[in-house]
Amino acid sequence: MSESNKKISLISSEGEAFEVSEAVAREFEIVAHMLEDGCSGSSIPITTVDSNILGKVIEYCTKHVEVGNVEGNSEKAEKDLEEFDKRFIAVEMNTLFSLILAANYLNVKGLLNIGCQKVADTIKDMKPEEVRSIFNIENDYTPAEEEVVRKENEWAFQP
Amino acid sequence: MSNSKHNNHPPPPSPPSLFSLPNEIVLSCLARVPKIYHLNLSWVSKNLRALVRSLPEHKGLRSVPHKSSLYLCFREDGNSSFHWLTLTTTTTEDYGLVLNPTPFPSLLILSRDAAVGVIDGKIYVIGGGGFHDEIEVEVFDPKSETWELAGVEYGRKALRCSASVERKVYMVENNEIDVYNPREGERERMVHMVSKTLAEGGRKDRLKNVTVGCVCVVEDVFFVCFDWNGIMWFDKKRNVWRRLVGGWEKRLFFSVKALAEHDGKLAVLYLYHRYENDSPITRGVWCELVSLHRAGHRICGTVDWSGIAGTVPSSFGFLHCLAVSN
Repeated sequence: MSESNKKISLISSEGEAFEVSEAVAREFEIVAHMLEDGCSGSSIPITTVDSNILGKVIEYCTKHVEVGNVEGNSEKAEKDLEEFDKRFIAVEMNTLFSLILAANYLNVKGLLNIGCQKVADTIKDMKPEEVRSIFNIENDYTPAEEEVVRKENEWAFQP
Repeated sequence: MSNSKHNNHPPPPSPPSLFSLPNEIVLSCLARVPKIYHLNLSWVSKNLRALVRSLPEHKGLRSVPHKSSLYLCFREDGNSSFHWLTLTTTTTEDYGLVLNPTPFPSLLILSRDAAVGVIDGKIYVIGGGGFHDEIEVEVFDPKSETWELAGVEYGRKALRCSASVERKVYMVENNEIDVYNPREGERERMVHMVSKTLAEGGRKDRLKNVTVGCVCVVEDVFFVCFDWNGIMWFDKKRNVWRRLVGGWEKRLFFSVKALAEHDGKLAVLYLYHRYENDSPITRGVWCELVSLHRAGHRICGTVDWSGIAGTVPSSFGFLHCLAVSN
């Protein structure tokens, strides 16, 4: 039990320290591996993640650890967590991409999942030109190639 | 420039490019986009088209496996014996009906006119109740094998054509839709919608004399086959019916018995009598497997395969079609 009270400092790319419980730090799989490998230091540098994003990832992990510890009424807890995830990931594209990259680097699988799902949900209902502008994708079809696509898929391009 | 006192509003930074993410992550995102949108995505850029096309190779990333089986249930005239048949792929290209050797348990609610939906692994049976516009909602939990009364709602009764979309049960009859959402408070869970409007034809084009033949859900899209009017889908965002495009507009649909999802495609099942010397000998099950592509407000259906899936004795009457995902 005493182990769960142990505090660990996570250091952002700007050198800012975030003190978290070991249980929260272990949600970062990369940190969990370090601890298992006998890395006994109480401060761990996370050099590729800035303070803003690291703070958010910690908020996500803290909530998930808290809910995981609650006993009983698991249905309500699951529902709350679902609502939390939904609010948490409703961010602008820049932040979403930073969160995905951080989750990928730190190996926080749950966060990586909801991040990728958010991209998928955003992308799916859009017209090709909207996808290009929101995700900054260059249209590399030549006018002639575009004409072929239009002809082959007339049903989609009728006014 | 940004330091200039006269320029307090620098132009907003351009959004990050999707391709700034590692390739594996981009693929993981794309694999979560339902297949129905893939064609639309491939029009964004050649680069994205190449990635979308490479997706089947990344099946391990798919969050939802599309493997599914179709079960057809027939009742024999003159006696009450039920026969379940499975639609399976016999070769890589061909489909056939195989008599299912495992007897199914008899359905608990067969005799009742009720809507049925599955949400979060529980079966919701919506129907019954005492007073004329009060309906009871019962929930069956297959884990504990228990029935529970979820509550009483106001609504129309005997809505037999139902399917679950986005964790809600959609029930349709005569172009009116009732939507049951178990996550709302009691007496607020049932929402009634009337949509006689057909989006394509403007306000004047309305559905007339519609009888719902059958319904199904493919990749979160609610499809209905209206007798005589054909296959339509319900645009939830705009509350209008839309026709399936791709040559379906001019066809007659009176012999459609079932719609179902099969491997992410729409399966349309027709039943017809086969005659010999003017008397019906067998009934044939004609099946069309339709791949769906969505772009904006249009869904195009392309028949990938069609043929006689199998035959049954002419004494067999069609009862149900059930799609089961593994």
